[in-house]
Amino acid sequence: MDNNFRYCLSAGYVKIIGGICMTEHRLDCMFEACPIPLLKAHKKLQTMKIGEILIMQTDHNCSIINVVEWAKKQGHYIDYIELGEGQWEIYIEKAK
Amino acid sequence: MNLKHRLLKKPWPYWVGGVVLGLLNIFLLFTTGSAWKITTSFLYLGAGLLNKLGININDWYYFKTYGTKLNVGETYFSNSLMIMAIAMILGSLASALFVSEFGIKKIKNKKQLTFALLGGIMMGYGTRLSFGCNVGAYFSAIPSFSLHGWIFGIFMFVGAWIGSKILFKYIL
Repeated sequence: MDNNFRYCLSAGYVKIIGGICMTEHRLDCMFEACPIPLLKAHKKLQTMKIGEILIMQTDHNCSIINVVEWAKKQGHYIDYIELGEGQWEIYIEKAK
Repeated sequence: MNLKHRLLKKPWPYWVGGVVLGLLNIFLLFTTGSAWKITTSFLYLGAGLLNKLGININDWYYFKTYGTKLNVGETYFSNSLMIMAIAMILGSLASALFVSEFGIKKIKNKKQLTFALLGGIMMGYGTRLSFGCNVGAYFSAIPSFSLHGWIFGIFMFVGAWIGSKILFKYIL
């Protein structure tokens, strides 16, 4: 077990994509409106390391515009999917 | 399907929303003689309900000093602002239903409920001091060449800046 993998396990979340171990953080933004999801993401990303993934759950359709635009402007990798009608999961990989 | 998706599902860019709101406000001023306002309809709703309960709100300082600004033949429950408030809710409902995104937002926790109520009361009180919200006292005031719209705008941004600092540091 390499150090990176051990770190992932200790953080409590393990995801292996292409053999790379990634730490993911979840952020529950359900039933919350602007600007709470964006500010929460901003606060959470400050505590995260580069390469870690933030997964946000939201039912606020503004978030898939303003959080996505903001994260792109910050230079992070971002994508989102619609889980069900009116419910989304946003993925942000901290890039810097 | 693709056009429907682009028109109804994806949020519009801010500049499109701005242009549409501007044009609709001109249309509203043309047809009703008054630019767009929102919070005054809350005033009418509250005043109408208190009136129904037998409380004589016409004696209150606010109404004595500033009047109700209702046109002749309009009542607290039946006036152009009230109709527009109801129409806005129905319009939002329709747009949510078109893309099957309608859902009842749950209250997340007690903290959210407390701050929402506190914020609502402060906002409501503030709109009476400034005669409108960011719609009546800002969005409709500036195109009407009203100086108070600019003053409202400057302090709205100052307030939003301080508010977001407090929110970020202490509440989130």
